[in-house]
Amino acid sequence: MSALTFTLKTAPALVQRIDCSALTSDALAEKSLKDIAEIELQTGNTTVRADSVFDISGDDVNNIVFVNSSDKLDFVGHSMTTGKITVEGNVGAYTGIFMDGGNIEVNGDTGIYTACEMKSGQIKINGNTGDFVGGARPGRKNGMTGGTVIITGNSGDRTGDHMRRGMILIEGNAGDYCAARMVSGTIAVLGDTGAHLAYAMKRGTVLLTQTPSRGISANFNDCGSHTLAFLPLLFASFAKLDSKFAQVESFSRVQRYAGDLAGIGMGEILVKI
Amino acid sequence: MLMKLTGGKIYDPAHGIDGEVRDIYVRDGRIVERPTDVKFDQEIDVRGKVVMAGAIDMHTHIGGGKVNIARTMLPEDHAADVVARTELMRSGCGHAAPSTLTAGYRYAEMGYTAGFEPAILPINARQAHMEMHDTPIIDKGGYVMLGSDDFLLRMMAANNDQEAINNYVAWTMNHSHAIGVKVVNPGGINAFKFNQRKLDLDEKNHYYGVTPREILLRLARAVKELGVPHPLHVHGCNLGVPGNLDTTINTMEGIEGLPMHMTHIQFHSYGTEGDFKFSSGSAQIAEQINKHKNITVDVGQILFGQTVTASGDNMRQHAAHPHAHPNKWVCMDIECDAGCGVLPFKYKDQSYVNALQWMIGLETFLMVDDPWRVFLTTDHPNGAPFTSYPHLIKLLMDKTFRNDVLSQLHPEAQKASHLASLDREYTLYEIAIMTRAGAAKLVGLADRGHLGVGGAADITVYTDNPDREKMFTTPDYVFKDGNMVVKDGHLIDVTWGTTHVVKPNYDISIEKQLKPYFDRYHTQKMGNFKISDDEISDDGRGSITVQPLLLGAKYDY
Ligand SMILES: [Zn+2]
Repeated sequence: MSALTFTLKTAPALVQRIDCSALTSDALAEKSLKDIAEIELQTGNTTVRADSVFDISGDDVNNIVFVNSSDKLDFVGHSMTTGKITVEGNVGAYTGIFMDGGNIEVNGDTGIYTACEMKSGQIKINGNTGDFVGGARPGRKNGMTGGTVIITGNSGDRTGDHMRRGMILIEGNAGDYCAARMVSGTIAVLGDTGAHLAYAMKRGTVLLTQTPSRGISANFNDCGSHTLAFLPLLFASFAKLDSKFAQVESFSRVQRYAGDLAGIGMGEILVKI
Repeated sequence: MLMKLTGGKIYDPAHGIDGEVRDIYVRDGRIVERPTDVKFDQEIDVRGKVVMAGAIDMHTHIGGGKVNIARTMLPEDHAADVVARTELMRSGCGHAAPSTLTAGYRYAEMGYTAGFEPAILPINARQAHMEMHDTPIIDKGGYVMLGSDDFLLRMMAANNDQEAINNYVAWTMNHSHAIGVKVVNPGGINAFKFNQRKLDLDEKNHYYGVTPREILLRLARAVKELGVPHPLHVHGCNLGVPGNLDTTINTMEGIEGLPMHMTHIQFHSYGTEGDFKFSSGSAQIAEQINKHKNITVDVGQILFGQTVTASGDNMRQHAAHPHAHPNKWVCMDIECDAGCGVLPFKYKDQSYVNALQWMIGLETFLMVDDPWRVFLTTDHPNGAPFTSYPHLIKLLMDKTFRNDVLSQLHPEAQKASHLASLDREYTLYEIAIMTRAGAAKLVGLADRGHLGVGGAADITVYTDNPDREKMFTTPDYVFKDGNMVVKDGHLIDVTWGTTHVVKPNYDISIEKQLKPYFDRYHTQKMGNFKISDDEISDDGRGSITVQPLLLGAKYDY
């Protein structure tokens, strides 16, 4: 079996965005190549056949590859529970939305709302992400509730907005309002963070290996330095990941800040000392 | 264009017609006498069918800021109820807070041809009208909200005479294009801004020193003396508070015989008896309504399921916020006019309180004797979305069905209610009173809600089905101003209704006080505040219908 491969045609160039939620292992199980070619994909206010935008080859629906991808491909991996999706190139908004298992790897950048309301599984982005990684859809109360997101580059603004559980690991920098309105879960950043870190954070942990250049908000209380026994365990759990986090030298000494005190103040920012 | 509806059973309470077989003739959108020797352009056989005027919803939140807040806050309400575009209809969405177009389509498909927005803030009136302007088919109009506005409270604190207050009320009605005046938690929305968290009927506003009772009297008198047909529309004090039935009865007695409409009375009919310290006060309330002929009510029935409550009563909405479901809510101040609170809510049949609220509403319907003085509402969307009206009609018309539903509810609530012992079943004639003739009379619509000669040809034709929910969900035909807009329960044409207003007289000298007030305190200048007729009618889609004032009013020039 060879990977089921969707190669985006270069001509005609995409004008409208394309909803790729129909192209997951779950949705394509039991489908023949002919069935797949006939799938109607939503684009703008109309639909197009899958084979009119993609050259389709291969047969393993549990191993899907998007080649020559574009940032106009939205909803890749929508609600998937199994299988692997690999994207060669940039991809659009809502990658991995409602994902409940399986694996997505993007060799490029993702748009906004990556891992939106994700429940389980793993998403690795070998590149940068847009805003609202792991966030909740506008007006919703809960962002991602499980799973792991690894970003080798930088994340956009409002990373982990309303995040409920799960882990977001950022090897580069995080944008403004990182961990804003976070309900619970873990965000770790190897680089710098932007303005308004953990704004309106309720619970959860933000782990930083360097002191944030924009400082810690006055709404967070400095609780002093601590030796936290769970940190070496956390780093041990990273060992199996294909990420710089697997190589970070374990530490347990951190400065702890609790907040956001404008709310219930049960969140924490831990900064390596 | 001349049309004949042949042989329907006519229910036209405005003319005392109760199920008589008659023909109806329509020429150019109006009902006319039987023409002599004329060929009909269209003849429709409605023999055996039930024919009523188009239904009128006299209290429904379909326009204005709080509806938009509800829409913005509840994307889940939209995602769960998506309506695709058709050749005829634009796309839309929303169960509890539908989009404007969808609301109009759904009302028409249910046989409704008019709806009145009960809470138009003067400062937001333009937006409310524009939104209703975008609601197709049905006629619309609104009640302008006064009573917590700083201008009125200043006048009262300064002991201005009634004449001055009448002028202010009439000026506001004219320039916000209202057909009635609404007061919400009289003075309470204002008191909330001075950190008062409750305000009883005789409790003073800390800053202005005026009481809700005084505000109600001043406004009810103004409405009466101006000759506005729609009585002062009152959302009373202490909404939803156990034990509020005493306040409600005091409010009725305290109005000194002036006409007053008390809205969503169900939410104001609570006692404090029993283990749960929450009991039905509907028997006492109904007795008072039956006694006070100056009082009309609409029920504000709750029905089980997810909805959203949107109210000007920020004081009570603030108090209720722990019950928000899903857990999010908005409470806001709106300039010097009022405020609002929006919180989503799920009524549960296994909740003692919700089950009893359901029973209290139905008890009220069944115990108020005069159907001309009680109106069918769910306070859309506060008690339930308006699309549940056919279900509500079935509950009123079918005792067996009602008792079947009742028997499924919270057992302790069943014990606390005597609903099961009420045998009354509404007749088609009484439903026609509540939803047509009575509603038109209450709102002050001279040419709607009846099938007499000269009336607008807003007509709904139903198949007489013992399942009243089915019957009222899918009318056979709906005519709006003589045009067939619905056939077999489906929309076949999209027309645009008119906006009903009244224009009471006032002395222009009131502007000498208002202009500096707007300059100093409001975000708009007085000139911009005034909505001109053109803004509603200029695009050729909307129009304004000025309804007559009552004769013999003080200012009947
Ligand atoms: Zn209301």
